[in-house]
Amino acid sequence: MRALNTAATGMQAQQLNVEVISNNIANMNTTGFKRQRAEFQDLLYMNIERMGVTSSDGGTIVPTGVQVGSGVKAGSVYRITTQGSVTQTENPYDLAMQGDGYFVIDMPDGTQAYTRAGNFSVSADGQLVTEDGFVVSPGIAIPEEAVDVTISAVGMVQVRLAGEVDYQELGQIDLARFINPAGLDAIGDNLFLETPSSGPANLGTPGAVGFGSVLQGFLETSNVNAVNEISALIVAQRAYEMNSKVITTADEMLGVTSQLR
Amino acid sequence: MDNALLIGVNTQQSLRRRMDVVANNLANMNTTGFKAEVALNELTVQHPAYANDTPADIRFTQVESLHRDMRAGTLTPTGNPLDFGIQEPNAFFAVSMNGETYYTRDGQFALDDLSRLVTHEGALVLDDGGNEIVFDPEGGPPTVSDAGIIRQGNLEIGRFGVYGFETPGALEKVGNNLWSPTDQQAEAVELPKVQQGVVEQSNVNAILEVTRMIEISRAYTSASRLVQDADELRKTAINKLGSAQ
Repeated sequence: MRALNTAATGMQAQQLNVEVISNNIANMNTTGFKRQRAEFQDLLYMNIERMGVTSSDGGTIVPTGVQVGSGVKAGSVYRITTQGSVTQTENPYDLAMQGDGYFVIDMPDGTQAYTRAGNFSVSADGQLVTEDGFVVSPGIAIPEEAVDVTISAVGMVQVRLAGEVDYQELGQIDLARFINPAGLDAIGDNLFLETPSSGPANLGTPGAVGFGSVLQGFLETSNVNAVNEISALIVAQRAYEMNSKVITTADEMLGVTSQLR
Repeated sequence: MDNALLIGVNTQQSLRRRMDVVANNLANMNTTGFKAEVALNELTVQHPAYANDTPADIRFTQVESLHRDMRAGTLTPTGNPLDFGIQEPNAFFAVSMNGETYYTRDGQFALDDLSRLVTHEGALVLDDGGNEIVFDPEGGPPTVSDAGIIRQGNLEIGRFGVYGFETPGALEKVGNNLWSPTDQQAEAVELPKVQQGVVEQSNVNAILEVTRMIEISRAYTSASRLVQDADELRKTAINKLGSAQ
């Protein structure tokens, strides 16, 4: 009975939906997290009676035909890269990105990763690093005798050394943009990698045309909206239930048949 | 001989088919732009069925056609600038996949690595001239007018190719939320009322489908009883009439 399999695809799809929603809710407070959405598509159809075929000698045609679908599948899990709101932290090494762009991170293996999470800190040798100790490109070293660190909207890192009045420029933070940021590969730890579908990284600096600007002492929160996620969860759960009802009903129908004799 | 038994079996077969359609609707409850379907039963034109002693004509039934509910689903806001929905019920975005043109109500698009507007499966979204729509990567967020004209800032990028059909319900569904035009002519829709940042929900009415499912299940049980009773009658007849005195 086809209905059994059809309903099973429905349950699988809703299960994936719940998994994606739960990941969004779990990351509600993850800095720079972008919510994801599961998208569904109908599966192939079986043409029992093709539309448009001639149904009699008089030339009448079948207007709509009979197509029976075989269920649903997950088309894609799409990342929605809208801006999250920014919250003040007053930590000088917390950077929020406003607008388009990703911070470039030099990974220990020599490759580059990209992140929206700007909760950086300073390593033992004075370099600006991520929470995991990976260097923020282009590798700005803050001298030990610095008493004040300022990072401007264009990502210029300036320090005032002890006993001096003027600020000293250390360098500008790198940013990367992608034509299709939804196509980046998430590798965990708030990091993303470039893929063929994201397009190559377009490097630049904050404030350049098309690039976002940097806000010191702030962090970008996740763009997860709890109300939306919970209502999506309810919809997913009910859809799951209904598909399981289809299985029960189809099973009952088969049971009736098997009790004929 | 009586056809009661065969008619019972025939009813069960068409009920199963109807159940398949209901299952597909419920499985696609959350599928973007999905249109619900109902299988319509009809009596066959011929009279192959036969009954003893009854003047009434007895006929077989079969699933003859499919009715598609082509009403637009609810447009729910997503806030994603590359999600589009069409308010007009008989209007579809034209997309190109493997050189073939298909039509879809699913306006969840994205940009590919060449900055072209594509579906999430990678099918190119076509403009009103049948060409691909290319965005300017530096051009900032796009806006879309009711007529489907896409702009980045003040620069016009193109206009969505939105088409309607004489009998939209008779399009062929090919899966992946795509519809094939069969032999119908696509006609450009003047004012499709394209909306940005929304997604069209499936128009499946869960309550209706579940009610239909219960009805099918009960009808199936009674058809099964019919088969059983006809069998019982026949058995009794054989036993009574055929016993050697």
